[in-house]
Amino acid sequence: MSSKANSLPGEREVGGLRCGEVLGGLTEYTSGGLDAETRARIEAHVRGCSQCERFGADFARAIRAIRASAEPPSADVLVRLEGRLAR
Amino acid sequence: MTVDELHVTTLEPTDAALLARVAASDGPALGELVRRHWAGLFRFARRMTRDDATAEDALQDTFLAVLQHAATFRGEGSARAWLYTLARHAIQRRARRRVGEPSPSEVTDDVELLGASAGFGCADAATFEDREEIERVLDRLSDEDREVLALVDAEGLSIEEAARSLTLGEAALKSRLHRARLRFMAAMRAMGGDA
Repeated sequence: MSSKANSLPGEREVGGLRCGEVLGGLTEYTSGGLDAETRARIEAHVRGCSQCERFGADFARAIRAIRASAEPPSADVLVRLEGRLAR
Repeated sequence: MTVDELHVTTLEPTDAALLARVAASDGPALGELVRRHWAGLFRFARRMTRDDATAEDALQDTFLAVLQHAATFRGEGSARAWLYTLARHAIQRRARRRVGEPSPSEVTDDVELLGASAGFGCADAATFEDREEIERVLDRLSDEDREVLALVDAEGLSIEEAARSLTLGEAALKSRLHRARLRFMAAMRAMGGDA
């Protein structure tokens, strides 16, 4: 993990990682793509950094909100589709 | 394998098995694929076209393409990823790019700048409760951002499936997804600020 420094407000180093490195790894973290050691380092950082803890929670809620936006479409769409495919 | 598992297996063929049957001109197999995937494919098409009628046309085109090309599915990767690939092609043929829509080059790709825009360092928690606002924000994102969020976060494709659908490597897919999520968060904050 690497990213350039000084772009994030209030960035700090906790648990051997900078906030920017944690930010850069959030999607990898949520998709299970990190090795156990890197996951543990991110978790240690987040436990000791209120900014990353808050942002990580926002990040997770954003993903859930997009998921929740996928409402079932009207069944009429299926009826029309089946009719069109049967022609 | 237990008897129950065998029963389920018998009742529910895999998507790949259904595609093989479609390739062998088994009409009911197409119907089963339609019933399994129409909703997700329609939501994806509607998200990309922002128009119900165009999305229905693209959905029809997708399943007609399944009929035409089922024999070319070789079982490399998931059948669902293949269906979304066909849908992408159908959508691209049907959709018209909106005038004034931001292209990926018009917005920053710097993860830390995006993180700051997305609220890193802000004391207040973001709100993602208003579904209509979420819809409006998703509609304003670039095609590229909306597409990856629709596939992974809305429709639940795996990283591998989405990468295959978008013909990207998994690392590139994750990079695109990460930036799209941050841009979504930034746009939600901006929308809240505009309200």
